[in-house]
Formats: sequence, C-alpha cells, structure tokens
Amino acid sequence: MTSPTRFENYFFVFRDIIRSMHSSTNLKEVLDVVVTKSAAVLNAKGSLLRILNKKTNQFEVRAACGLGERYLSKGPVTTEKLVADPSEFHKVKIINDIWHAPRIEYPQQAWDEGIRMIVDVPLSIKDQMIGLIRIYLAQAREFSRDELDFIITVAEQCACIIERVQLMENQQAQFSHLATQMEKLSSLGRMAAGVAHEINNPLTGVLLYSSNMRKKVPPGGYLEESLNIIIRETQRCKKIIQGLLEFARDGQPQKVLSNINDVIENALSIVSNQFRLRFVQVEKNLTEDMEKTLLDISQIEQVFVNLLLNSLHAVNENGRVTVHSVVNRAQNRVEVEVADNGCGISPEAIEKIFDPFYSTRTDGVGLGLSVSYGIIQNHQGDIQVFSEPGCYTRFKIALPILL
Amino acid sequence: MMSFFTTSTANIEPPPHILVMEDDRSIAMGLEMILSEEGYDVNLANTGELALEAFKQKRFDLLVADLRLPGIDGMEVIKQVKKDTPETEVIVITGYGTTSKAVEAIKLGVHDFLPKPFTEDQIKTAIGEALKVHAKTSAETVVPKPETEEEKLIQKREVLAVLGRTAEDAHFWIDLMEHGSLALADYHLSSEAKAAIASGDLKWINENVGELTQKQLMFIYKRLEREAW
Amino acid sequence: MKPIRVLVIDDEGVICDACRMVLSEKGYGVDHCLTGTAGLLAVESGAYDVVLLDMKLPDIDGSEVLKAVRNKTSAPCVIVMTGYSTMSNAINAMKLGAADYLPKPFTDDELLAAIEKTCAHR
Repeated sequence: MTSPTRFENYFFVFRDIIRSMHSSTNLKEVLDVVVTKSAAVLNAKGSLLRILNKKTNQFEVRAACGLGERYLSKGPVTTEKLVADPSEFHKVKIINDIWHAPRIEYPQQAWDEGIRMIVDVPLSIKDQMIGLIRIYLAQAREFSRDELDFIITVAEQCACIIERVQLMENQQAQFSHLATQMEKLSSLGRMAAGVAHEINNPLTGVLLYSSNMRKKVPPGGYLEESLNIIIRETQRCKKIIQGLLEFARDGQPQKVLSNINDVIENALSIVSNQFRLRFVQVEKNLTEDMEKTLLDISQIEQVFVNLLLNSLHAVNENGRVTVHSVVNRAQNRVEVEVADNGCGISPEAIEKIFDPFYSTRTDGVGLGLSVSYGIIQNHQGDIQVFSEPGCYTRFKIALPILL
Repeated sequence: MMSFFTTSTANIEPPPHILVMEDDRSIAMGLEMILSEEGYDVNLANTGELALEAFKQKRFDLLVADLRLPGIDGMEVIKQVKKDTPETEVIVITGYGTTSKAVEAIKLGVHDFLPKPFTEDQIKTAIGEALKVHAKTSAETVVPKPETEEEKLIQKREVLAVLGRTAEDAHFWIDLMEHGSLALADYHLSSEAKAAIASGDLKWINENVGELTQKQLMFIYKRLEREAW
Repeated sequence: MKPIRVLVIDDEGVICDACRMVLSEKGYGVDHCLTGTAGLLAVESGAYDVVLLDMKLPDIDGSEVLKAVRNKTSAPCVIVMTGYSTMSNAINAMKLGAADYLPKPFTDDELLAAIEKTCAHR
C-alpha cells in the first residue's frame, strides 16, 4: 500500500476535525485535534492554540501539543503585538528570526526548546481576530503553497467552530438568566397571592371591631369620624389586595364592552399620588365621542399605569405628561397616546424596549412594557413607541373597535 | 326537532327543550349547533324580552343564559323564569363573571355558572347534569287533585295554557295528539287533568275549567273526531 | 322565642371573638371552634341554626366540613367565609350547599345581613 499523499493527509485532518466537532460537545477536544493533527501533518515540533479572552483582552492558551511545561508556563501573549495591523488578520505570518520578531515574547525559552521557526496562523471571523494557531518547527524550512493553503483552511474551520461555540454559550447564559428571573417572578406571584390572602384575615378583625365600634360612639363626633376613616382605609386595603390577587392570577382576558376613557381615568387616579409628589402635571385630552370596545378593564388599566409611571420616571420635576384619546373611524379603531417631554429613549434601547427584563433603571425588573405589549396583542391591537433622546417619548396604542 | 311520529301511543320521550338566551350571534349559533347535535331541541333568543316571550309560548327544560344583554339584564330574566316555572333548570354563561354574581345566581337556583370562554365539553357536561336534575325533579312531582280554591285556579290556568298552546304551536299539537299525557310532562297538572285533556274529555273540562270558546276547544274537538274514526 | 344559634368555625381567635361580639349584641347565641374537627363535633351535638365557616382550616379542608355539615339531617345553614375569594371558589362553595358566601374582610353590617337573609330562607 502506498503511503498517503500530502493531499490525502490534509483531507484526513479536515475530516478528523469535523468529526470531532460532531461527536464532542467539548470545545477543548476539538481544539486538541486541531493542534495535534496540524502539527503532525506539517512535521512540526509542536503547536499552540490561543483564543482571545474578551474580558481580559489577552490571548489565552486553550490547546497545545509538543511543547514543554516551562515554555507553556510562560503565560499569554498580549494583544497589541498581535492585533496591531488588521490587514494581517487573514494572513499566515512566517517568522524565521525568532529573536527579533516583536510578537515573540520569549525567544530564549523557544530557542531552548529547540525551536528555530515559528508560523502564526490567525483565527479570524470577518474583521476580528479571535485567536491564533502558532506552529513551532525544529528546523527552518520553506513552506509549499499547498501547505500554507492547508493551514489557512484549518484556521478558517477552527475559527468558525469557535465562533459557533461562543454563540451557543452566550445564548445558554442569557437563557439561564431569563429562566432564573422568571422563576423568581412566578414564585413572587405565588407568594403575593398567599400574602394577600393572609392579610385579609387580620383585616377582618379590624373591620369588624371598627364597624361595630362606630355604632357605639356619639354620632357626628370626632370618634365617629376617625372610625369612618379606619373603616374606609381598611376597605381600601381590601380593594388593593383584590387587585393584587387578580394580577397574580393567570391573565386570561375577561373582556367587557367599555369606554377606554373610563379606564384611563382610573389609571390616572391610581398614579395621581405619585405624580403629585414629584410635581409632575398630567394633561389629559380624552375625546368625548369615544366608542366603546371590548376591553379587559383591569389589564388595560395595568397598561396605562405602566406607561404613566414610565413617563413619570422619564421627566424631571415640572415635566409634562400628556394623555390623548381619539376615535379613528376610518380605521375603525380607538387610539390613545401617552407622551412625555422627558429624557427619551436611545435608538439602541428602543429596539429592545418591549423585551422582557429589559430595563434602564436599577430598581426596575423590566417587565412592565413586555407585559403591556402582550396585553395589547391579546386585544388585537398594537403599541408603538417614538422618541428623541433628551426631548420626548410617545407611546401610541391602537385598539380595534370590537363588539 | 321532531323527527318521527308513529300513530301508536308508544312511550317516545320528546327531546329536552333548551332556550339559549345570548346576544352574541357566533356563540348563540355555535351553541345551537352543538346542542342540536346532542339531540336537544334548541331555540334562540338574543334579548331578555324575547326570552320571556319564548317562555310564554313554550315549556323549556333548560335555559342557557348570558347575563349581559341589551335591554333587560340576564339576572332579571332568570329571576322571572325561576318564579314562573321553577322546574326549568338554568345554566349561566358569561364573560362578565364576578364572585358576587355567581353567588347571587346560585342562590336563585341556577344549576351552574360557566365563565366564558368554556370548552364544548364543559358546556355539554354542565347541560347534561342540569337535565338529569330536571328529569329527577319532574318525575318526583306528582300533582294531587286540587282541593283548595288556589289549587283549582292553578289547574284552570294550566289547562288554558295547554289549550292555548295547541292553537299556536303545531309541534305541540301533534305531540299531544300522538303521545297524550306524556306531552304534558312539564305542566303542573294532576294525572286526571292530563288524561282529560289528552283524551278530549269535554265533560271534565266543562266541569273543572268552565265554558270555553270554540277556538280554545279546537284541539278537543279534533281529538274527539279522531276517536270517532 | 328561642334565640338563633350560630356556630363560628375559624382558626383565628380574633375573628371568632369579633363575630361573637357583633352577633351576640343582636341577640344571637354564639359559639366558636378553632378547628374543623371541633366544628363538626359541635354541629353533631348542639342544635345550631347557622354555621359561619372559614374555608381554610388547619386540620380539614373547609369544603369537606361544608359537605359533612350539609349532609346531616336538619342541617344548619352554612355561610362560607374566605380570605382568598375567587369566582370558582364561590361557585364550588355554593354548589356544595352553602347558603351564602362572605369574602373577607367584611363589616359588621355585612355579616348581620348575611345571617339575617339566610335565616329568613330557612
């Protein structure tokens, strides 16, 4: 049997790299195959594969073969020397003079290892250098065209694999983060329901005693008035808890023919206190000839409360928030706009603004707008945002008039 | 939905009569389809007023009621129906469900309270159960011969209602003609009264109800004619 | 005339005492139990006209107590109280034979109205 030709050897290396990628979920195993096989085919003493760590900005060793511990322990190569010239990102660099090449950090150690020639093959994806394969040879020699082609192809394959793995790791991390958040929130929801229920019991005691006492005090006096306040505020607690329980429950919309202006008014009264505390005015312009449409009142109220609070946090003291409602008969829909003259939303942020858990505030969880988006969708409507940073933000909601 | 009639007086039970009181057309028609397939006789009413009218014309075993209606509120209709014909079972379907409405409805004697949206299985099950209860209570109520003035008045009212209906409801006429007393299952009448009507006992009617007009007695005459055949 | 006797079954002492105060002032005879088992025993022995039942009890589920009470011959009317009121809870309770449904918290008038209405129907 004749020994394999060079090209057959190249083919085997490609095949082995791809195979290891298919069979292994571990990037290290694939990289090991890359370094060992490519060194073997090129009759090199050894080879090293480094990948750029974006956080530390250094090229770290991720796979090696044929080199002694002492050399390997020398540490990573700093970035500047390697990425100085972007035009080099896709070219093989042959270093014959290891003593004077700026990118060779430890020429003495290399020489002691028996290394006389180094070949650098960058791993690049588009315009970025993400890593490096460095091949160490015991003898300086010429490289044929096909050898160079071979090593460049290996590098391209390798870069591709690394990029894909990094992408998957990123997704995985994002997903876990999202999952944890969701878990936290759903347990929060369950907890809220339990707490709400627990609060109703002591409230019962308060309400019974105070309503009973009210009948025993002199009518029209200070005591009666005070007890009235206690009773009223307790009943207010009851409503708040009911609202909380409804929120915690799974939101199948319960739609009723209603006037959206009434819902807006309710939302405004809910947030009025907070607006007052920050001296922010709300200008409302709700059309008198509003048409009724099918709405889940508490859900739509939630949407407006969310938008109003967002506006509130966007403006300074003495900022202005406007709410405007109209009927668009031509398109058979009801349109509401909530606008503010606040800090606005940057073009990058606007893309993500309806994504769950996206928040620009440290105290925010980032769910308000994504839940609102979902609610509007459930009403066959749509919600749009327009903004100019430093100037204004406008949220436009359109709901079809359904009967 | 009367499908077959034989000339024998075999014990064929008439299908349960259901009135669907719902103003949403799609839901009403959907229910009509589902319930007809189950073999029920279905009528529709899209307002409370029309529903009450329907109850004057026909005896229903079951009322499927939406609460939110244009005009009279569904709950008012239910109150009226339960007052006039307490044996009619009621199921509430509603997209506007609150705890207090549910409690109020069941206190009125509503059999079940189904918030929308509900599945086909849910409504079929609810209706099946309600009708079972209805059948049980109907079977249990044996009306004794009237003694007091009030009972006699009730009997008179019921007989007139039956005769009046024969004039207006062709299906009922046929039902009564073919099946006799069985067609009167929903009426608050003693078996003696039912037999009298079904057999065309003019004498009994004159004695217990009074002199009636030709129009009112049309059915009786026709029934007697049949006998003569 | 014999006073109407009410049995309050709730695991919160404060609520039992508050109900007792409100009801006894109006002439009702009131007893209370803090658990479902005690409640069932009490219903067994005494002749109560109305039972005020909390749906969440430490030992048995409120709906079980409701069923058991309603199954007795000459069963008292049961008014169900609950801190966690949902439509389906309400429907279930009513179907199981509750005479009325009182979501917590309620005022003294609301409690009295429920008891009066229930007794009127007996």
